Amino acid sequence: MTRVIASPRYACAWVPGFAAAALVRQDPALGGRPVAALRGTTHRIVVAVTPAAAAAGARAGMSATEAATRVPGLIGRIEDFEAERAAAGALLDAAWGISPRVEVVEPGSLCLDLAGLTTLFGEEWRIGERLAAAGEAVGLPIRVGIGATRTLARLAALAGPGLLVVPPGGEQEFLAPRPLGLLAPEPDLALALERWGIGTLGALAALPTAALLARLGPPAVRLQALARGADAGPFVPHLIPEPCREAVTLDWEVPSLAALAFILDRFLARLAARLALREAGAAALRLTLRLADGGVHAHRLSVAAPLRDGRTLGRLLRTELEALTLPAPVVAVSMEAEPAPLAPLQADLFAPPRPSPRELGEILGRLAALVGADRVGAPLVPDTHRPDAIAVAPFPGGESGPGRAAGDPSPAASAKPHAPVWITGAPLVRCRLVPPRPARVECRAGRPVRIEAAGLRGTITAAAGPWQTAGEWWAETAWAREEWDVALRDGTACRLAQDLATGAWTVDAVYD
Amino acid sequence: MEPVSLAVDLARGHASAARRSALADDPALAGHLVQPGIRPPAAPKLPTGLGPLDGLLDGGFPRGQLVELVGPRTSGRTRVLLGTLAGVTRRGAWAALVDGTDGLDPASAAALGIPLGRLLWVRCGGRLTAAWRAADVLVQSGGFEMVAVDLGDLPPWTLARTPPAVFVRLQRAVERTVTGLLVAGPRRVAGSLAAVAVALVPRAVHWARGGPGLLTGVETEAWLIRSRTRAPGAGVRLDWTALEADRARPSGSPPAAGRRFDSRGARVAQGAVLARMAARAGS
Repeated sequence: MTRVIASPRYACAWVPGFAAAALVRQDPALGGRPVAALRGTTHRIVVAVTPAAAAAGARAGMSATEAATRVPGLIGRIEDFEAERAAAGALLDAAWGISPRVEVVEPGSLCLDLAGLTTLFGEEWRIGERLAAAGEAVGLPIRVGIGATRTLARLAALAGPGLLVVPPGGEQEFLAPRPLGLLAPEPDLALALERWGIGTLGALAALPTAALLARLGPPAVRLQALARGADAGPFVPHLIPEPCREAVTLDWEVPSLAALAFILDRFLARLAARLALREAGAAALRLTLRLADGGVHAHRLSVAAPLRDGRTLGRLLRTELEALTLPAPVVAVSMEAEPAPLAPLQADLFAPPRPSPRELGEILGRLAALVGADRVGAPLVPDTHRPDAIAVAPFPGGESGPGRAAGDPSPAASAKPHAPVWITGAPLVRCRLVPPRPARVECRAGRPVRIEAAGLRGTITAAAGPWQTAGEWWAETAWAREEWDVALRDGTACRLAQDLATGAWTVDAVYD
Repeated sequence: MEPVSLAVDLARGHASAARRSALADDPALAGHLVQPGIRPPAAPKLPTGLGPLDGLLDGGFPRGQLVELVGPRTSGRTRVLLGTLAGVTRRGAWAALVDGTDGLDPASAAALGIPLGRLLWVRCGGRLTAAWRAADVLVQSGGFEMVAVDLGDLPPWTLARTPPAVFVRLQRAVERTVTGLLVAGPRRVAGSLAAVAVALVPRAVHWARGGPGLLTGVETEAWLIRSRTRAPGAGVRLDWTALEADRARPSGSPPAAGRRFDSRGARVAQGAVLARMAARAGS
């Protein structure tokens, strides 16, 4: 049995005018219009242009004035490194949605190893279409080339109209007529080759290598290898997970959060698209606002269940930020989603209907915005006798037996229900007073006979106790107290406690 | 044949007997026919787990309506509330408790058999407005079979500040749903918007005889003071027995972080507590 080893195939995803595309991505109003990304303060240079501006004659390296002269209506914007970083991360997400082996060639250009992907996605042009669609989803116009080598794939992306597949065996036919400028040779080398009449990749590839080395040196040989479609080095996959982050530096100062709403909504839509490519949801959102006075405001919104719906996340974020006031206008915004696997949506046929994880996340988020995130959850029986101990677990907890919440290893929580030891009827329950109410207690013969506390005062008609409790003697939080169950003349039965260290009395709970 | 239009006619009671008979004979349509005058069965009520009180309420608190449970301290109000929540959560459904004063004792809830993982606890820290807004969020979500609002012992002047529109909104949100909305507090707040109101009146507190003693129970009367389906005024007697959960820890369970002593300073043996309680029950 012979094993057939498939020849390697690569795809290249290239964003034309990446710096300008990153600007357009953060401002959809610029879509389809000639835009140039500029660098510099006094003498501004064009560093990238959109395809519309390139078609009208603008090029990178021109001065802003020259570009504006050549392209009427050209929109110039100072390049935004934050937006470029976000766009680079989005491009990586789009590529990782197709292949796990991705190499970053340069900002705005990636190579994907397509080994084995045809069995998953079908023919190569389908993979290319999927890659282009992923780019569209994250707001980047991607050109895709596919070939036997990374160089070939990159040249196909640069030369093609949008998607170009160089079939196996058709490499020379593809390369021969392509202009030498696709390889962006050094100016001196390009001039020398032009003088020789070498204007295409095919002509350069046909030159004898030894003679080329003797006359133009190693750079010319490296250029010739590229012209023949050979790769310059090994494939180096990018393995570091990129943060799911969107950012923009504003051209103007935004005084209020309400005015930022449209930017936040756009960020959330982009993040939702990127999370969809990662097959994940957002467990939390981190919003960072850079202020005009140099300060930074950071806000973290935790989501009870991972969500991927931009609108829902937007509602949660607006609820969270309702009461926020900023000391200065905002000049830059960034938002990062913490990815987490989405909870399974399979419902139980025999269980009552429940909210979906998305709905539950929104409900819990709105409740957390109302009362605080630490005040919403499933109750836990704390693993201590300490009277003021409160424990809350994330909701929903596990489906374990009565009296135990999810992941609660506490012995108290694992105790069985106390129903078997009930005497008759149903027991009363304790209703805690939070915080415990300070009380003045009059005692006779060591027993409380009268109490005065806020809302609770009168003669004690019956008292049971004392029960002495103590705990955490090994720590500074040690406590020791005596507890009494007392009944007042008005029928109230409550729990009195005296701190043995201070002698102070409190009413801890009411039986109800 | 026009099955849809005929079925509609039947539902309105306009179809002739012959046509109705012909349709009923058609096995493909028989299951879809709506008989005039017959309504689909109502959703089951939310039992409290206390026989006399469930009898007073014809099976429990109704769903899709605003229900009030009022009573002073030590009237068993919280016990009824948690008992109803236990019934809901033990069936596998989710329930929510909007705790106005953070008074829930999880150990007591666990002792009543509430699966704590299915109970959403929203602690409002005495903020009444937040409590009503949280209840509104939960009722509007429709994912909880019961939403309970415990107003604790908030003073009357605080409760009186609640705008009536709150209850109109809650009532509108909960009607035509299978969610039960229960508001428990020291006094009535929803007025005529509550479909059912039950008042609990404490009558006596019972103590164990001899020694330091234990609080063993409370006698309470439950009165139906408002109902849209039956005449109010009926009452039942409830006999409560108190037993603190943490004083009767089952044998074999590991000790918690704190230590518990009796009045003489000796450690209380769990078996002794149980034996003492059983002896009192026998006497």
